[in-house]
Amino acid sequence: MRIPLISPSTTSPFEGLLEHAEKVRECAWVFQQAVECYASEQCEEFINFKDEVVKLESEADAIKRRIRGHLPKGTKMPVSRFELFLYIREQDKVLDSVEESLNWLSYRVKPGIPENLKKDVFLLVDSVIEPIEMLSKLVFEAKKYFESYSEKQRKIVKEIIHQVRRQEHEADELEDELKIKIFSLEKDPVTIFHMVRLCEMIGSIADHAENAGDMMRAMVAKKKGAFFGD
Amino acid sequence: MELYLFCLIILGSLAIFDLMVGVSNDAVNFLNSSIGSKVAPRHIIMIVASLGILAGVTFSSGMMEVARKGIFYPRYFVMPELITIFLAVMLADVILLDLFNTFGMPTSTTVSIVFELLGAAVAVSIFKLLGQGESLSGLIKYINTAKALAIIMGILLSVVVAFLSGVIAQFFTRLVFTFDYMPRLKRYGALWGGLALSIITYFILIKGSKGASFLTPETIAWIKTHSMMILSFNFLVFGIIFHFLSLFTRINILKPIVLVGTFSLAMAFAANDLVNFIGVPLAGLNAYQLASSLGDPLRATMEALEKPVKANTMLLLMAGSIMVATLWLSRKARTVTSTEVNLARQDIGIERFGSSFFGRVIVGAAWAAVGFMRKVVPVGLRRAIAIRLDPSKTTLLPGPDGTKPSFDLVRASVNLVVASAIISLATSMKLPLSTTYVTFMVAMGTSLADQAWGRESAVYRVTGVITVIGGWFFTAVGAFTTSFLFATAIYFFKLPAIIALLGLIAFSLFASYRYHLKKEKEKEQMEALAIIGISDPKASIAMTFEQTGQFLRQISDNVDICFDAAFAEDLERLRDTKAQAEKIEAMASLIINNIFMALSSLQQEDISKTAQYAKTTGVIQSIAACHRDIVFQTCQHFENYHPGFDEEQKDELRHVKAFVTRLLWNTAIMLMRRKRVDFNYISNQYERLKELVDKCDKNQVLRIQRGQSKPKVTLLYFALLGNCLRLSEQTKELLILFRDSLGLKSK
Repeated sequence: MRIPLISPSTTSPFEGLLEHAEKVRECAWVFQQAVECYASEQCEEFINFKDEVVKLESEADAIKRRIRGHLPKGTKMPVSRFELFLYIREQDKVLDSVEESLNWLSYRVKPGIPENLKKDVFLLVDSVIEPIEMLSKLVFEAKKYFESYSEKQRKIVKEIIHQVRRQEHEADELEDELKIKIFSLEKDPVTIFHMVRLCEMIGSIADHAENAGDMMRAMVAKKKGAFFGD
Repeated sequence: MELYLFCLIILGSLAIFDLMVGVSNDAVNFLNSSIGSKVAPRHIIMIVASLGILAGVTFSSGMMEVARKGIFYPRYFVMPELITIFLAVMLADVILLDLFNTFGMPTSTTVSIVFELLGAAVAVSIFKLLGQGESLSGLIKYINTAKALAIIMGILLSVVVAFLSGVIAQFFTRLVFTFDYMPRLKRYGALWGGLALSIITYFILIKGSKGASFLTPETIAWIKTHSMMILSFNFLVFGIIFHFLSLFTRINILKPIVLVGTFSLAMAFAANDLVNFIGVPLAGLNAYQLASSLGDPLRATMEALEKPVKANTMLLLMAGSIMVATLWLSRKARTVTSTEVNLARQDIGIERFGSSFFGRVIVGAAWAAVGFMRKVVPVGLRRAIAIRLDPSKTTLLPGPDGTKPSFDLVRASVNLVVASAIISLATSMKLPLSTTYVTFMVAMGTSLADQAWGRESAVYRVTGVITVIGGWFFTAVGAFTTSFLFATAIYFFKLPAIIALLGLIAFSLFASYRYHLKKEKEKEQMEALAIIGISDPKASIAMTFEQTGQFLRQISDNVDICFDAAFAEDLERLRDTKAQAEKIEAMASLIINNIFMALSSLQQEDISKTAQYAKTTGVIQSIAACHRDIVFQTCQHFENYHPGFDEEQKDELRHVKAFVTRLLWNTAIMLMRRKRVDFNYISNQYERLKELVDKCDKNQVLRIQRGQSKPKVTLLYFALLGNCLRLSEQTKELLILFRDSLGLKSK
């Protein structure tokens, strides 16, 4: 049995977590804009988008530090600190992967994304953004669950985690299809290497979103005999 | 006897709760005029009211009879029966008054206690008669029907009299002072001040003398027989004082009148209504003490309770202190006060009540009556009146907090003078009335005479007044029924019933506290949206951006939840989204209003920018309508228990939802942070959504051809696709309009 978050004096760690998830989501959108900009070749804003991602990442870092520094103690924690830290780490890794992917793109400004791959790259980006968008919803619903411990709310959280997993799987499939398509291109090896690596990096964004979902699954799991958070 | 001692302790605790819920509801009676007119800083008004309450409680010692013998004859009851009645009454009173406070509805604590006493006494009398094998016609012997009827009739009559008096008094006062009252105040202020304060001080004398221990019966009788003399003398003295004040100082003489009026009404409230909160527990204590002194405490009848008893002054002061503390701290008291102040407000703004059939009928009839009057009254007279009663000349000077008051000091003083006059007249004629009903109806009458209910707001205001009056009838019926049921439970099940009812009270108080907190938060959010009073065009434009962003963000979240709830066929969540959709619609109206204000302030600078206004409001309305359609159609579909989506449909709709919410969110961020807009990104998202919707359309047609989809679910599916596409299109359009009309930067 765990104690619901009803005390008005307690600040739920999920408030900060939600704030962090929203930064991650925003960052994902900027990433999408950056990729579209990169693909259009005439766009000169790419560097600005990259800077925006860096800025958002540092803001998210500040939130992460705040969460770690202001966790309620003992019985006021609805979940284990360890699990919570693991979750934030995974959510944060999404941002790192986004930043890494943009860095990778920036290493080779010309000739950009081959014309016949553009649509597939956009589709892949779409597919990895969907699980990231789900993260903030996941935290929001989990927060509600830890306030009420209602079974219905737990089911809602589990359903979101299920969706994140499915979306990650779809992203994996798209990544594989895209890789096949890249290798079938008669392009120079550098372009092929650049594109394959880019696919893997974009794919890893969804992997971290899925990992975060799995950490949340562990947090909402029914634990027998646990009365106090650690 | 231990059980009854325990009951007494409960009665004592309930008295504290009753004092708190009672003051929260009644505070509006004496605070309405001063808070509505912002006569002084809030803390000054509260200090004056607190002093009035403390003065009033010391006068209330003679008022405790109603609880003991006003409604029933104690000589026919034994102590356990009386304790049962009193417990049922207090439990019902706390629940009922707290319910009214939570919804911000003013009601009469007198009516509530009278009907609770009636309900519980009838219940106990019926069971007593049945137990003794007597017929129910004997009930009349137990109940003081004459007094109960007199109370009810008096109260109903006072409602009509108060409203009409308010209308007439305000009409003539306004005719004298007009809406631009300051220049006329110099001329007629002393006369009005003398009249107002002489009525108010007479009211203090009449109300105070009833329970004041330092006045002999002869003195009280003299006051009553020399009313005219006292009034004339006071009129003369106050008239002279006010004349000198207006000649030699810059004091607005309406201010002391309103403050003294507030003091007097607070005093009358404490003197009169204290009995409603502690009268019953004190009567219980008297019954217990009386029974304990007798040989057979459980069977001896309680005729001794019919003798007058003086309450302990220390006890009264303690009760007064609780009332004062509640007055300062209760958030629910503010909610009740704001209901009345908003209904009487001179300006237009956010209306708390919606439109109702009765409201429309009454306004229609009133409009027809106005038309008839126009034909009957000679043109010259009509013109003369219209010049003096021109509300556009209203000079609502900002209050101490810098914001505009809801009405001016002339109306506030009329409210207090008329209410005081009616209450003191009724008291001197020994007619029972409800202070709440009188002050509320006077306030409504004066606002009607002041044309505060113009065509912009009349239907909503009248609906509000009907709702409040409907609540009064509910008070009587609810009080009677609840205490009847509670008394029945306690009569038969004793301690278990008492414990269960205490549990019910605890739950009810907790639930209402949470509900009220939630509603207050929502109200604050809505009020924060209104940009009335911001004159700086830049600030109002910044606020418009922020609010439109919030609006899109809320739509995005609600669409997201709606789709998820539809996939899970979760009716409860769907209904939540429906409620949220209604709030978002209200928000859309406010934003449109704000954009109008922002653009009208811009007009002076650049007229070309305002040309897009009509388009902008149309687009915001379309966005709200698309959102409403998505939510309402989905909710209706599942409320009719039609089949849900299959996995393939869910999957497609999930992708569509992702695009729409992303587009809405990104637009929201661009507006809220005044980020440079990436129109290419938004256009790309929209184009991809269009492609996706086309694909989904084709897939659905295939499913229909294969017989995989039923008609109702197909209808919903297409409706969702269409609305999502339109929502995105309009959002894109909004962004362009904001760029063109309000200067949003683009990349």
